[in-house]
Amino acid sequence: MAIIKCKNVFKDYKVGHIVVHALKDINVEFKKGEFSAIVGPSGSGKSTLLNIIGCLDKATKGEVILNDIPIKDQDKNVLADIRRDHLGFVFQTFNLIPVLTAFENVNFVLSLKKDSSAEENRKKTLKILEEVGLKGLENRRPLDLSGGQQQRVAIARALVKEPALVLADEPTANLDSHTGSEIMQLMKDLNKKKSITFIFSTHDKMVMEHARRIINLRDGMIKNGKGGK
Amino acid sequence: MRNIIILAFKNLARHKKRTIITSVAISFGIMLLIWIHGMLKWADNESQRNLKRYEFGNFTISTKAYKEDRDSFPVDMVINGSEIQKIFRIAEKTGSYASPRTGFKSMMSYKRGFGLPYIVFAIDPEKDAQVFNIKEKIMDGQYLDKNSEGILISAHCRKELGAGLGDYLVMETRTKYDTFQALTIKVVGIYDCPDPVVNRNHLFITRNMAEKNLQLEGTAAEIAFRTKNGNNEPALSLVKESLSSAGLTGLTTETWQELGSDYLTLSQTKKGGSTMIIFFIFIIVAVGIINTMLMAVFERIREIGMLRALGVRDRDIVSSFIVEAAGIGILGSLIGLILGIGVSAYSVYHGLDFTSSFKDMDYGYRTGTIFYNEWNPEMMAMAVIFGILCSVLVSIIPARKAVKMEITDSIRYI
Ligand SMILES: Nc1ncnc2c1ncn2[C@@H]1O[C@H](COP(=O)(O)OP(=O)(O)OP(=O)(O)O)[C@@H](O)[C@H]1O
Ligand SMILES: [Mg+2]
Repeated sequence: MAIIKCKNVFKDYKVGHIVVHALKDINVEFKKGEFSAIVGPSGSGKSTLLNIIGCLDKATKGEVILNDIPIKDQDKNVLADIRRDHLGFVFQTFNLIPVLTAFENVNFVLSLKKDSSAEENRKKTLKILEEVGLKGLENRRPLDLSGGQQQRVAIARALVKEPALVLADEPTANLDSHTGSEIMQLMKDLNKKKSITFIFSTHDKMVMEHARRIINLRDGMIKNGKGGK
Repeated sequence: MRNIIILAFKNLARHKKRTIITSVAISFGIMLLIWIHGMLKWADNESQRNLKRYEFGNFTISTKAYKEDRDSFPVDMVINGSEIQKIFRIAEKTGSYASPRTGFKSMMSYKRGFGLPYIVFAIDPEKDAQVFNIKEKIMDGQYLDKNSEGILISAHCRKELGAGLGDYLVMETRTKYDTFQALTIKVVGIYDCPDPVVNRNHLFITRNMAEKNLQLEGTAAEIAFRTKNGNNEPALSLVKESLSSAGLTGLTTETWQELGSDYLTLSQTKKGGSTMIIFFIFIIVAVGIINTMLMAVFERIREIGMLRALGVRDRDIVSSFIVEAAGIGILGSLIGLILGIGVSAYSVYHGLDFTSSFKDMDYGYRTGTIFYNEWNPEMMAMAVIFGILCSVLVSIIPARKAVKMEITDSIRYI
C-alpha cells in the first residue's frame, strides 16, 4: 500500500518577475516501510519535494495523497493536524526547542495529541530516548548536547508518535561523516524495527549507500534510480 | 494548550535579562503613572480645599449689585449693619460660622518704595478664624485681635515690599464716599498661606480699624460661611430660605464653586494637559513592550516554523506569545504597583519641593509649591490593567505576522 503518492506534481516559485520551476511533473509513490533517499545536486528540488510531501508547502499543480487523504485543498489547521498525527520531521539544523530538555522536546509532540495519558507519554518518551541511545541524557538541554546527540533527540521526537512517514532533509549535513554514518545506521535500524517509512534527502555518496531506494532528481525532474518501482 | 503555556513560561525564564529589563521598564512607567496621577489628584483636591479654607468658605452672602461687580471690590454696594446682625442669627440657626469681610483695593508701600496693589480685607479676627484658616498659618508675629491697629501681611508681601515685622506700611485706598485715605499701619503678623492667590494679594486689618479710618460704618461687602459638616448643603438651602423669609431680598448667595469657577474651569483644561502626560507615559510603556515582543518573535522565527511543522496550530503559537507577554506585563505591572504604592505612601507625607523651580510663576493650582500626593486606587488599578492589556495587545501583532510566514521560509530563516 502506498503511504504517499505524488501525481503530476509541479512547483513554481516566483522571484520577482522570474518563475523558477523547482519541480516539473513529479510522479512517485512510497510504500509503507520504505527507506528511500532523494538525491541530486544543489537546487535540484530535493527540499521542495520533501516539503510538499510533508504538507509544509503546497504544490502548484498536481496531487499529493497521504494515507489516502488528498492534501491539496486542506485548511491550514487540518494540515497542522495531519502533520501532528502522521508525519515526523528531522531537520538539517536539528531545530530543537532550546528551552526544553531532551525529554521535554520529545514529550512535547506527544502532549500535542490528546489521546494518551501523561504517564503513557512519559514511558513512551523514555523508551524512544533509550532506543536512540540517549539514556541518561534525558534532562540535558539541546545546548548541552553534541550535534549527533541533538540529531538523535530530533529522531526520537520524529518517531515517538509512530508516524506514517518520517521526512529528513539532509539530516547528516551538519554532522561529521562518522557521526553522520551513525545517525543513518540508527534511522535504518529504527525503520526496520518499527517499519516506519523514511524519506531523506542528501547529496552525500556515503549517506546514499544506506538507502534501499534512490530517487534521482535533476532540475526538478526524476531520472531513474535504484530499487523501488 | 497546557504545554504551550509551560513553553511560554520557560521562554520567559530563558530570557531572564530581557524579561527583567522589560518588566523594570514597564514597572517604572506604571510607577510614574501612579505617582504623577496621585500628585495631580492631590493638587486638584488641595486647590479645591484651599479655595474653601482661604478664599471663600463654603459660600458667601453679598448684595446683588456687589455680586455683579465683585472683581473690582466695590465698597459702596454693601450689606448694612442691621442686615449683618440678621445674617449672624441665620448662621447660628443653620449651625454655620459666618465672617463679614470688606476688601479694599489698596496701594501699599514701604519707605520710599513704589506702591504695589493689594486687597486689604477688613475682618473680625475672631469670626474670620472660624471660617478661614489664616490664623493657623501665622509664621511670624501675631494674628490680629479685635482692637489691633496693625496689619497682617503674607510672606510673599514681606518679600515684595521688603518690610518685616514691626515695620510701618503706607496704605492708600478709597472709602465708600470715594474719598482718598492714606494710613500708616504697623506690620503685626506675617502669614504663609499655601493658596498663592491669597499669599500674593491679600492683607488683613481689623474691622475696628476700618471703622475708625475707612468709613466702614458697620457694613460688610460680603459674609463668608463655613458650614458644620463641611458641605454646602443643607446649610445653603436653609440660608436662602431664611434670607427670603427675613425679607433680605437685595442679598444673594454664591457657592465656592461659583466663586472659584475660573479655577475650576482652568482645572478642567489642565486635566486635558495631565491626560496628555499620562498618555505619553502610556506610549513609552507600550513602545517598550512592543520592542521586547518584536525581538522575542523575530529571534524565534525558526523555532516558530519548527513548531508549526510539528503540528502546533497557528492560534496556539500566537497564544503562547500572548501568555509570554502577559507574564512580562503582570510582572512589570505588579512591581510598578508596589513601587507606586511605595512612592505614594512616602509622598503623601513628604512633599516634593518645587519652590525654586516655580518661584513666582503661576502654576495654575491653588496650592503651595510643595506638592504632596493623594492615594488613587482607581489609577493604580487602571495602570495595572493597562500594563497587562497593553503587553498582550502589543504581542499579538508580531506573533500573527510570524505565523503568516510560509513554514518553509521560517524554518530556513536565519
Ligand atoms: N522559497 C523559495 N523561493 C524561490 N525559489 C526557491 C525557494 N525555495 C527553493 N527555490 C528554488 O527552487 C529550486 C529548488 O530548490 P530546493 O531547495 O528544493 O533544492 P535542493 O535540491 O534542496 O538544494 P540543496 O541541496 O541546496 O538543499 C532552486 O532553484 C531554488 O532556488
Ligand atoms: Mg535542500
